[in-house]
Amino acid sequence: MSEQTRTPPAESSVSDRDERRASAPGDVGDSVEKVDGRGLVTGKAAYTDDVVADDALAGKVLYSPHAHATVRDIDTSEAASMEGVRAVVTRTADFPHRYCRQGVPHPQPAPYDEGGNDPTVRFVGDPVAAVAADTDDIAAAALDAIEVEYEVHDHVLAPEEAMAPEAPTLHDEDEYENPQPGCDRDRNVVAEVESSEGNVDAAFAEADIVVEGEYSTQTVQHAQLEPNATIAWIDDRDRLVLRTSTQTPHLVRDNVARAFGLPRAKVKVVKPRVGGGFGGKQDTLPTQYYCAALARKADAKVRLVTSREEDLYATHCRHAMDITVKTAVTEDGELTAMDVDITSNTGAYGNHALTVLSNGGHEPLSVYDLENRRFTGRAVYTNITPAAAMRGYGSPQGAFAVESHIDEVAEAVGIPPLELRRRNIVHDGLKAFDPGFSESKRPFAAIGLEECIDEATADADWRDEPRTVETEDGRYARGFGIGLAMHKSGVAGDEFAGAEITIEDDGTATLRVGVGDIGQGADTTMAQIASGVLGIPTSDIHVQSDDTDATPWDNGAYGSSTTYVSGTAVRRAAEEAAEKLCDAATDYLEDSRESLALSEGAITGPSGDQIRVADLAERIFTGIDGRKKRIIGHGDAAPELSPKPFAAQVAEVEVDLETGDFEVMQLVSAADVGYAIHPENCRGQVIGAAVMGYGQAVSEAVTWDEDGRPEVTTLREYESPRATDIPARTTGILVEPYEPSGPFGAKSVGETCNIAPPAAVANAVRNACGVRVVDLPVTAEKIASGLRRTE
Amino acid sequence: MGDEVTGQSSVELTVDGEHRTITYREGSSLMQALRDNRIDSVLNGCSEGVCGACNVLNEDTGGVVRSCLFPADRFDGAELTTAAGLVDDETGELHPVQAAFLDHGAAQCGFCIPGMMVSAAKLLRENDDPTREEIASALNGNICRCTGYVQQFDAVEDAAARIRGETETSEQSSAVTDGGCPGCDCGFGGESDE
Repeated sequence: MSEQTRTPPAESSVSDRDERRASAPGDVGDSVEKVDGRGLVTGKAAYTDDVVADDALAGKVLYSPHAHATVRDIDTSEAASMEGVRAVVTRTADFPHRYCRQGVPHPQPAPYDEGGNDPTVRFVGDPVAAVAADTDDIAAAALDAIEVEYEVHDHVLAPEEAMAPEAPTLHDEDEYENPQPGCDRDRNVVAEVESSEGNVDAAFAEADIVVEGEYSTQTVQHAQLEPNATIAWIDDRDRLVLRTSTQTPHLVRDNVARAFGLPRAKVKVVKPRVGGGFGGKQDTLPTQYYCAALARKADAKVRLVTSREEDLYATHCRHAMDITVKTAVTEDGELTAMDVDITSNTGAYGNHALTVLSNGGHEPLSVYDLENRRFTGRAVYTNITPAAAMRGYGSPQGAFAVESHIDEVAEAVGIPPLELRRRNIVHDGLKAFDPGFSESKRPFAAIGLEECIDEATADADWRDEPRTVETEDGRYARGFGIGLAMHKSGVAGDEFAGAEITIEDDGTATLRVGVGDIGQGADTTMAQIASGVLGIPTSDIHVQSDDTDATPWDNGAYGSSTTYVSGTAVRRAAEEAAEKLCDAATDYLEDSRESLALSEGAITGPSGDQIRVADLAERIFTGIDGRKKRIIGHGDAAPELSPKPFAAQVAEVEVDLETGDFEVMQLVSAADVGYAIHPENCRGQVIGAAVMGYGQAVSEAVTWDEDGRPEVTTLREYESPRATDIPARTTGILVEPYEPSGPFGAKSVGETCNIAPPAAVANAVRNACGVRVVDLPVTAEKIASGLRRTE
Repeated sequence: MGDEVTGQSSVELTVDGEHRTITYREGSSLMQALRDNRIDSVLNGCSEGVCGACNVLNEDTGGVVRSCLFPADRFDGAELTTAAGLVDDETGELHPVQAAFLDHGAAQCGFCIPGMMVSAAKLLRENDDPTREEIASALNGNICRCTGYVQQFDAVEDAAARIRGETETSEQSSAVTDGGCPGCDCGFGGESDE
């Protein structure tokens, strides 16, 4: 870990991409063909439901139709006696152990508020029972035959009503375990946080100007294209096996084992190709638990694939938040204090309640150099779909508020928004405002935020002043807006990744790593990192990342951790293998051991004397010159650091001043990625995240009616952006300040650009026509109503 | 035709150049029938005709079929092409748009990609020099949640150039390996036109 905590040398803060690429052996820094690419474009890639499972029973889940009720009786006798029904499980009889679905290692920073044969259902879509039958039709008929007697309770859909004295208590069970800080179940509060630096109250008391604002964000959903799918069975050694679409195979194994009281070694999880996750497949889903329960009860293979409708309301969503921001600022534009308060709607269960809330305040407040800052907040149980991890992890909500608010502060002091930001953003040597449970043990170093602002504004052709260009007839106005973002490279102090690399007897290599490709390009990036150390082509490295039996533990693909954390483990494993190769090569080369280097598939000394890795591997493997050897390198990583990736995102909009209709003309995202190991993949992450953020900004929402029934049950109604919806000019720019603790200088890239588009769009609308939209999504109706108010 | 005793139906199809008897549960959509017969290059993202992951080309009409929306019964005798069938049988060479998607990093999770390939291939059959707007319009029935579409537009433009026989300049191909973007207005690595 020593190099992880070293202060970087100053010269590392400047990147010279060409020089770095030239000096690195292997394929680091090149946009090589993805190792799994051909399968993707030919349709050969095998997702969970593409693997032959003709012998699998059909699994189906019965969901609660009530937002809040107690199951008084479940009569499954008729269903169980139907011909072709092989197993029936219920929430009140088949889940005796308490568990927490959250996809982070045990003990999760979340209550264990599920399982325990709990009879209370807490949202429309909470599983009540499930069946496994010979066919889909029989399974559906069996669900219809299950009779459930509910005692219906009052329900609450919004945090404010949930915290009211007369509100029903959602989690009054005696078995409630692992309560989180500030937990007050009588008020439905899962967790309450307060953290501060400096003296916030004094700063406000002395402030020249104080600006306050209230903002709110809507519930959105991951809507990854592959619905959740699980196939579970008991293998020939009586082990429970799940083949499932997940971001966290090792955590699913752990969570499922705990939920059924099984030894970890008796559970195996296989992650095939995954069709997107975005956080929605970080947790262990109800369908995974229920499919496992059915397989165990039927002692047979069971297939459980959610419909799109189930995926939209019975899995996970993003937390909706109500946010107040208060800022103290001097007349000349120095931010002296900020105070952020968030109320987060965490839905029926407390997975990610505390941590998403914490992130939502701490990250946006880390973007500015603030001597005095305070964050308070609470996460509240309500009777809607459980909110969980989603790309950006609280930051999109917090940044929408803080970044919208910064423009209002700029307005109040009469300084252009860009200028105000430039004067106040963080710089090297300062520290992030991290929550106590995941503090990165190093001040900022080599951060590229200012460069991101420069690049994004230049690319969007936005000069350093606000401007409004009205068309000749005065009907249309254009404006620009910016949003800044900071995220993380893994959860500092909580990550663990292992890697193992074997040099095969022909000089190719097998890399075993426990983090999987969910679309972000991890298998390719991991192979490139190994290639960069070993000097063999990426295409010669097979990445095995899909099976908990065959790979070392890894927390999984979440928290923007894969490249930085798992990549570090891979780099170390490859370095150990490289050392062993060089040791073995000394028997064949004249040059000294210390002088040998690996590149272009060979080990070479300064004299030019060299041996090809393939020849060396074959010789030592067959023992042709002495004792047989097998070259295997191991590495792991548990970093105490989480270097922060930054982004600046600029939107340009045109607003119809008569109707409020608006069009986003440009969305420019510049991201500080440290160093791009695979530039095209990075660019895809930047643009893909930005467009997902754009969806939250302008169109996406999941809503419930007053009875708590989901109103958005189809993809058509969900309105995520299509090809013709994206801004005409949507661009991605990579800023590469080089992070010395990261593999080859890399930080992370997956989430950063999902954070600021809503604020950038809202600020651009404000700039164009003076209307401040404070609640997402930004719509023509809201703008029109604002225009009417200002007339 | 349906079999009342077994509840099974079947149609004769040519899929990706191969003659197949496709047997399926009566009432199945074309998507379900193909998937039940292990034709897994047809994916199910929504079952409501919205996402495009199940797109196949109907060679008899030249049109793209959202196979989750139509009963399999309607396709007796049809000739269909999926993403798998865009690969050259003889050489194993990828269709230009498949190759371009790989070169431009335009496939991330990949779940939308087979359907996207079908839509793009149809466009390029009809128009080997599409504008950016025409490309976006052709891909509008394919939801991609990963990429934000831009690299996909780049890839289709590039594939069109390949089909027209305009090979990449060395500068452009090196721009790809440098992580730049060949000749497009993406603002990354290259000069912007705007």
